[in-house]
Amino acid sequence: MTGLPDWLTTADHKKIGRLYLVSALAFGAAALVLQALVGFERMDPSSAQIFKANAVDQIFSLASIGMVFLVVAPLLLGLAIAVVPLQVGARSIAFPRAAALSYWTWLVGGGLMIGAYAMNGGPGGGDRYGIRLFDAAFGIVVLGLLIGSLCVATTVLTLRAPGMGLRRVPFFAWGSMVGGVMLLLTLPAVLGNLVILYIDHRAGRPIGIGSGAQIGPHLAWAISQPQIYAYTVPALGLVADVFPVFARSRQRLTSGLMLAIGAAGLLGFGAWAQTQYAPKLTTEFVFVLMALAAVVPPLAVLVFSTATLRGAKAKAAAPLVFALVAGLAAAGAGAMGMLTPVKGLHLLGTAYAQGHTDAVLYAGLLAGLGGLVYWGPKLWGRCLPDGPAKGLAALGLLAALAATVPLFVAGFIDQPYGTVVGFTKEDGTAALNGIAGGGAAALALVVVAMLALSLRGFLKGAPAGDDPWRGHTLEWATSSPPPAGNFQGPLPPVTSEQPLLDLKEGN
Amino acid sequence: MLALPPAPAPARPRMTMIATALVVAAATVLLGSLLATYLSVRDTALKAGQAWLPSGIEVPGVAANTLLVTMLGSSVMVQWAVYSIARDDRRNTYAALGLTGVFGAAAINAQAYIYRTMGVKVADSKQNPFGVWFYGITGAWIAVVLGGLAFIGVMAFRSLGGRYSGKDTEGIAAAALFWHFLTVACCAIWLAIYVTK
Repeated sequence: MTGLPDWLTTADHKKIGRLYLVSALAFGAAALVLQALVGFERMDPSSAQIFKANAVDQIFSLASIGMVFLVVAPLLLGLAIAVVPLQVGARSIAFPRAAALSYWTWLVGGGLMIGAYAMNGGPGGGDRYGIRLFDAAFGIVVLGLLIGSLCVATTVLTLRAPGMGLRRVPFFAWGSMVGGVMLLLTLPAVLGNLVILYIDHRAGRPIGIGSGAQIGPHLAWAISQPQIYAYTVPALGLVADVFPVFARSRQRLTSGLMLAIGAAGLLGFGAWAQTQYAPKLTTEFVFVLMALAAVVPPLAVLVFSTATLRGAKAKAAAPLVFALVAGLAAAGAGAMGMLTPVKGLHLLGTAYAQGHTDAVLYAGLLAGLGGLVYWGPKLWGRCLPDGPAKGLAALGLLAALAATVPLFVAGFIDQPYGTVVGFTKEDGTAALNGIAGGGAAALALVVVAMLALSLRGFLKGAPAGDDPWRGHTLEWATSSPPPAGNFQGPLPPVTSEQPLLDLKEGN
Repeated sequence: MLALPPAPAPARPRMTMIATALVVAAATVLLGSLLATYLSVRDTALKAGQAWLPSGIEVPGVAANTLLVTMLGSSVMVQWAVYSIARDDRRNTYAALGLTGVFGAAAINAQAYIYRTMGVKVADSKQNPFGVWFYGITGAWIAVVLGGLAFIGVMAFRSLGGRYSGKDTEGIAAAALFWHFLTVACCAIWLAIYVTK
């Protein structure tokens, strides 16, 4: 089978991963445009300017939920589905048809979710059928992500090449496994919330637990600290994988990096932090400790990774620039998250918390774009032009800063979380929200430009060769793009964390 | 391409068992989070001096205990299937898997009887949220039991096709693991909803 029918029915993990990547980036551009419009809308908080007053909250929630469940989580999951089996030397992903089911379930759920908003459903919505459709569609999206996470985690746990113990797994595969397990251990709680919301709305009271106004508070934990970190754990693995390749040196701090990535997963376990049922939870020791400690893993990954550059003749190619900006963004987001629960600052429930959430997600988005640049040549067989890709990485970091730093400042002057029409407490928020909106718009442009660059580069770019970056891990030991069974011949023996580097160095 | 020396033959992965363990963990979070919020909401209501069970509603103790005993029995059945397939005893394997399915269906039937007997309304006139969580938790459990029945069914058909034997019991053992989880979940629900009320 070739052409469209092949793409519609494929169980090849490389194709499923690419479908995820393209779809998530398309959703990403749309979600960022909405975030930009919300930012501009907040410039004059005394009244609604761009949207109808009763639609502002829905647009905001669509952008917020969409950035997590339709963009960052599926972007990194798609990358994992495409790359992780190659990294661990597997002939296929575990349960390939389930991986295909995961993509189509997620895509259909995403479409239905947007349809629910169009029907005036979703958080803050007023149409009863739209609200129910949102509950069901969100559940379908979560189910799709859970199935995909199960496939990735099982692949790493059971289909590794001979000699590759868990301690020798490449960092991205390790991060994807940790992130996948964390999603499996937290997202079912979202399903539980949705079950309650749906039942109450379907058979209960229209103004009760399941009403449009109550959806947001019940699901807020899923897009807040600490849960927000769980979605971006694979990004840390990507950063750790890319640096030593371009530093042309061997990463010797593997145990520390694996510990850091594992800790990032543990610190992202947020299913217990459902503030709707325990409002005082944010002042409890464990919550504060998790918020304070969350900066350590990304910082450790950044420090350990950049350590490979010391004394090395590094090649500043686009994947390295993307890894650097993603690492910086993740560490910066972790650092800002430390302040959120500090009692005297009163930042929870303000624009600061929203800025923090966005910062974590933008780090994940930049890492996903970096993954596309780094592994795209392997998946498509062609290279992206290096200069424009580097420019997009730098622009992406600047845009992410512009989109989040003003929100941190606005939080300190008590601008509430979300789009509160009627907030006129402080002057200066208009400019801050305008800059944040501009940053989101610039990030949307980066995503669109990356899609266009990928379309041109991967279709007409220079052939990549099998190992364009002189990689260290098994995915570079096969042809670009890889054949149906991933590896044509026998795999190299795995006797260290960098089996391909061992071969090149003749160890 | 680099010339690559051959690697040793791969060991047989326990893919189904590992994946099932992950699914069990995920399903534990689903039912656990529902139970945790149930207990939280109940605690809030009781502390406010409100009655938790809506007035006129009584738990049918016999039916709830029958449900529990049925699930405990089904766990014995599914373990019998594992025991039998490990000894290449196909006849007993099929019988055990079939009985597990029958017990599972009986458990769903018992739950349906409890629904009818209790007659809990989601929209209670006194705004009591018991009904929402009662149907949410037990409904989610039934959905997971249906998944378990499908799992048992697939493994039974695979066994009929000769896929599993004394040398490879993984699929049956994985289905048994999932079924034991369902029984444990049933115990937790029984204790939280039907006993402590």
